[in-house]
Amino acid sequence: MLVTRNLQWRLTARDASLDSGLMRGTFKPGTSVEDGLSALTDLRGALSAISDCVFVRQSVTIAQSQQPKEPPSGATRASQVGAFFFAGELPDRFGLARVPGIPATYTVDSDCGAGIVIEASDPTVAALIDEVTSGIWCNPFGTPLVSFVSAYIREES
Amino acid sequence: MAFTNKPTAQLTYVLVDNSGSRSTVVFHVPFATLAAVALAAADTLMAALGALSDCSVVSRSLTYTQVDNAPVAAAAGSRIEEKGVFVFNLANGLKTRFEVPGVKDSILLQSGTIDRANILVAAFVTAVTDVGTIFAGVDGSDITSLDSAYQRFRGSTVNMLPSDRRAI
Repeated sequence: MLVTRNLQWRLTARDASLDSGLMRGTFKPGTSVEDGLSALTDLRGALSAISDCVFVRQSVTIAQSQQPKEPPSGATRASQVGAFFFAGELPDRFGLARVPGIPATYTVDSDCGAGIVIEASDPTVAALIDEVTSGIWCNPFGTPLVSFVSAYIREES
Repeated sequence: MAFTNKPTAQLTYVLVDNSGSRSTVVFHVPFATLAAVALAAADTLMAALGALSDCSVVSRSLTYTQVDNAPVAAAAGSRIEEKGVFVFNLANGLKTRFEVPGVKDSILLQSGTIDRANILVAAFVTAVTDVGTIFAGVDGSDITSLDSAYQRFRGSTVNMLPSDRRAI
């Protein structure tokens, strides 16, 4: 079961030499994202009056943790990552989702991609692909991901 | 000067394998997506991830970020390492603290204590403690009053040291 913690906030400040520092804290239970961002904007006003740094970023985070924690379902290491490439709805816009702990059993077993290329027609793989291309997920620039391109396994340190 | 929304909110899953090694999976939703909608979609995605990966999901987070893409320059000589530490009392008897980076010298007393009578300091304290404010301790307890406030220096990292510091 996922347990939701109180909404968390962060403010990032930058000094004259462009080094950055963080302030962080927590909001009261039930605070919405919108109210949190609005409160941070007000807080920045008060902070700017007592700090020589300039505030350049603010964020709020909804954090949830699994309680109790479930054990991993298999022996595949987290460093064995499945890299899934998706095409955006705009031309030449793509997105990458990297999923750790992908067993080699999901790779094709023939041709030059054997052991590396992930079999997109596998029902479990297809379920993930369908969800990522459902319309809500996008790349970091806001372009919705609409179709699957390719996927392969790689080792990451 | 103006803060703008990033194009997307970021959903991050933390996964762990059976050796205890952790890794993350990151997805994005348009910034305007309501948190409840994004988290509902995240539930479906988590089920798909759980079926596919041998790792287990231990936590996830959804972050909405706003940035100033053209910030003004910080005051000359300002240093992140120079903190103004504000310790607040909580309604449950515990304490919480904020560390304000680059605290202005003009709000400090000679001892290094922050001048609580300073009108700018009072405005900040009010912003955090006033009735109706939504800032809280980590457990959600109300912040009720200022306990102490003082200047403190954090150690510089190597990257923070002046690049022209070497004699030769």
